[in-house]
Amino acid sequence: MLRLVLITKGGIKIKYLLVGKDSLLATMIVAHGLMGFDEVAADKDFVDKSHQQSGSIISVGKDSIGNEIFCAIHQYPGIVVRINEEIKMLKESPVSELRTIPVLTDLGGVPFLIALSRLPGIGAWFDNWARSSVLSRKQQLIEKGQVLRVMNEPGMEPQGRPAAAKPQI
Amino acid sequence: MKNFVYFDYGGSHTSVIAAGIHAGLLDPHNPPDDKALSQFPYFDETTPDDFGKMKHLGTHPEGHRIYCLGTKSSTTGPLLEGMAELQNAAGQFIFCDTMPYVNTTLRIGGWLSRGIGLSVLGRPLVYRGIRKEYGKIADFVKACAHHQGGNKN
Repeated sequence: MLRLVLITKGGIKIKYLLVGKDSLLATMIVAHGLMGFDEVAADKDFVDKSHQQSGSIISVGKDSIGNEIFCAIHQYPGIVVRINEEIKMLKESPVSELRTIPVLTDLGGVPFLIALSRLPGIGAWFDNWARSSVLSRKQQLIEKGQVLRVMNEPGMEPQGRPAAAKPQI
Repeated sequence: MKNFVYFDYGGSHTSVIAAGIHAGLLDPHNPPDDKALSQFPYFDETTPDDFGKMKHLGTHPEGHRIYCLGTKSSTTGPLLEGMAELQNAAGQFIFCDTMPYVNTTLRIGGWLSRGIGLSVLGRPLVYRGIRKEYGKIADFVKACAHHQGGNKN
């Protein structure tokens, strides 16, 4: 608790980028679990289809202590983690404001349905099917986010090690 | 000083050539021959460990650092720009997508050479594919450098 207060008083806020493999909707539900929600009012229109296909980063919101949460999709989330580290190393101030978290979820046949949703004409039908399948796993996805929240608790390194405390002046 | 990152799916063909032109290692007006291509750093050499790594090709006389990158995805531009922005480094990175210059010959050659390890069959196709697009890649590099504020020689 003390550690948490010190971090928020210092104004250090972390940006979390959750990178899902297949479904942006699923990743956003996980993000709500990470933000501390026990439930999320997600429906089929929770994420626009164009966002799923654009590959851009979506802002989800802030958690209770002001950390910002973002979501994105990449077929290989580990590559995004590596790119983030590369950007961190090459930029002028190497302090990282962004922590990337791969979100690996078992979504059954959803990836296949998402692939079919790109088909012209009948794609919308497969898109709806994919969304319904994701929503049927909503609780499981929120719990996944809550586990990630514990693993990435402020003041903890990504591997789960406590951060070294700086002496107070 | 900026970091110019040329990226494509594999990070071993069009992105390497574009970065090479920008870094002044390749003549934008004369496509390299097979021998020059085969000896060019990082060209057709990607391994699975290289995906996501920014490989430094050189430094422009004005100080801009030039990299190539394989993202294993064909739509990574918005993600890369977003990540730089979230790291408060948007002004330091210019991401240039060379995927539009990956023609069918390059796709087949790249898959044979890097995908299934048949470089004997794939490389001749890769060389041919690169030379076919070379002028367009050189124009793209010029446009990328000028539009983004990094003057190309």
